[in-house]
Amino acid sequence: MKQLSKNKYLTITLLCFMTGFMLMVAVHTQTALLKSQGENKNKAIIDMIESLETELDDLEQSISTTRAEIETIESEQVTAEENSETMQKMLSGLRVRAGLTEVTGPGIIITLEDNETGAAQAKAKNPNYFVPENFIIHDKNLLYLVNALGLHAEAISINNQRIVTTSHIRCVGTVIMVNSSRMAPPYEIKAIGTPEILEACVTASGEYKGLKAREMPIKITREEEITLPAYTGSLSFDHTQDAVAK
Amino acid sequence: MWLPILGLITGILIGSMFTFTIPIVYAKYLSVGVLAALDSLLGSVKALLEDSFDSTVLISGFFANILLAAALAFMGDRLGLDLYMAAVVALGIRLFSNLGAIRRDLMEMHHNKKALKKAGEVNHEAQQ
Amino acid sequence: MKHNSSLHSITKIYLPRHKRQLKPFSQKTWTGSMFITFLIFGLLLTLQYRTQVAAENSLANQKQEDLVAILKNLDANKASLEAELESLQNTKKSLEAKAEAGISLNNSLQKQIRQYQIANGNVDIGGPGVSITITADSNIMSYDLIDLVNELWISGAEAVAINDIRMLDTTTIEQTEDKNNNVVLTVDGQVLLSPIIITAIGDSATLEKGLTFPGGIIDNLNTLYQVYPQIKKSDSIFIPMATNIKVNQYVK
Repeated sequence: MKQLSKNKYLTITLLCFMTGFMLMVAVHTQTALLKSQGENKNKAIIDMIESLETELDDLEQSISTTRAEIETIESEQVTAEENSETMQKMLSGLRVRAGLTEVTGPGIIITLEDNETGAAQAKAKNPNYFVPENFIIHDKNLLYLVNALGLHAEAISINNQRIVTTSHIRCVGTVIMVNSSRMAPPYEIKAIGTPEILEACVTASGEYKGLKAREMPIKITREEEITLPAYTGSLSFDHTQDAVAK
Repeated sequence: MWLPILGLITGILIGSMFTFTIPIVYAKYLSVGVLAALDSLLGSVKALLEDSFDSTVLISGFFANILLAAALAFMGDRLGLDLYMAAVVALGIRLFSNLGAIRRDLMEMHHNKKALKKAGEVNHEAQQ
Repeated sequence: MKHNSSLHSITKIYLPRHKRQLKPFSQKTWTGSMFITFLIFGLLLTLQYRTQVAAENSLANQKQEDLVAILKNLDANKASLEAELESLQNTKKSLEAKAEAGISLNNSLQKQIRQYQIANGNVDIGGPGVSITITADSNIMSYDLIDLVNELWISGAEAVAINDIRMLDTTTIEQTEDKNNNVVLTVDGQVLLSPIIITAIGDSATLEKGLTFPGGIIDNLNTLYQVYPQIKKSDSIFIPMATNIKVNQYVK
């Protein structure tokens, strides 16, 4: 009896073993089969579709981001343009005050010339004591006249040179230079302002009186409209820095 | 009898509120599970009518059958055999069998009810 | 027929005995368990329905020609989106360039504004330069001041002030006498108190040389008029903004 049951058990065990083995082989085969079947042609297209859809999402995202960026730039642009406009206005005002533009208005013209007739007379009379310098217009004459005008003048020019903040008048030999530009007589000092007041200013000044006393040709005319040229020189401030008041 | 129907409707409503789905590869297992659940249900109705209802049998059978059906389908996929067909066939047969039993039971109940009513009328008439 | 008064037994009256199975009947719980199972069944049913719908609509279930059609559609969509993105990026680039130009324009405008503000005396300024101090006891005249200022401009001064009054293009230096017959110097009407300090911003060395070279203005002041201005170079001259700026009628 025991042998029979032993045989029974052995057979059953063997059969179980074979079943289990076959089971696992079948499972492995099917798994491999499924894997190889996985790449059917539809799958390739499906993969492409899915990757395209992701790309499209990215594209739409980029488009919306770029649109937002454009909007920001455009609104900033508007502000910047408004700033530009404001600054341009400010700048044009500053340039007028700095003397960089042609200006027109009522005023006076002072005309000065060398005293040629007087020089000729003096030379004829006293050739040994003749001093030519006494009969020509000097840089200081122009300088002091400009200084006298300044109080009531809104703009001043000598011949074709506009007087600005940094302007200077000097003599090199017998040549007068204004703003480092050669001047030749007759010298026309133009000033814009109320003509009557300006004329009064000049005639009251010591310089005018001195020139008249020496019989230098000096003439003042009132004008309803005179035009002063723009300053064409340089205005550079390399050494100037911004400063805070102490 | 209305409470179970209410339970069904409630289940359907709750199910439609959620929007989650299971991955499509497992859809087949769910289908046989539904079939097994249906079979369990019909079996419980039949047991109720035939006075053999046992709630432990119902509950255990319900879940066990669903799991078995799904497991069978899963094994079938692993082995390369449509084993789920076995579940479909077996459950299908039981479905028809249960439905038939329910139908006959209901007809018999109806017939007996009528007979009772008639007997009651005759008695009533006889007593008058 | 046997009546059973149990409320839960709805069938005992009507089914014949032989059909009824005499098993213990869990009366209390049949509704409960039936309810639960029906509920779960309902859940599974809807879940399965939804899954089925999704599966039918999923890409894996489509025919190949449908898939190809979808692919072509997506390709066309991608092409049009790419075109739009490119045009938008071009717009953005040109706007950025314009903005940059605008910024550089504004920068140059800003520079010019500062330049002219300095020239017109609208701002406080500082820098290297010289200061000329003339003490009270010297008999300096207005003409000397005019000459000194002019000399500074010739030597390349960028800004000049007398006693912190900025020298502009129409600034007037005048000389009057007070009751005690003392000389009173004024700049644009403002009286200059001693000591008179002339400040100028520019290259200190050039400015000093321009004033002090032999035969120059300082030399003349020293020898001819016995006026001895003290000249000092400095790295930090400060000239405040002009307070004598006129309001113009004609030149605006």
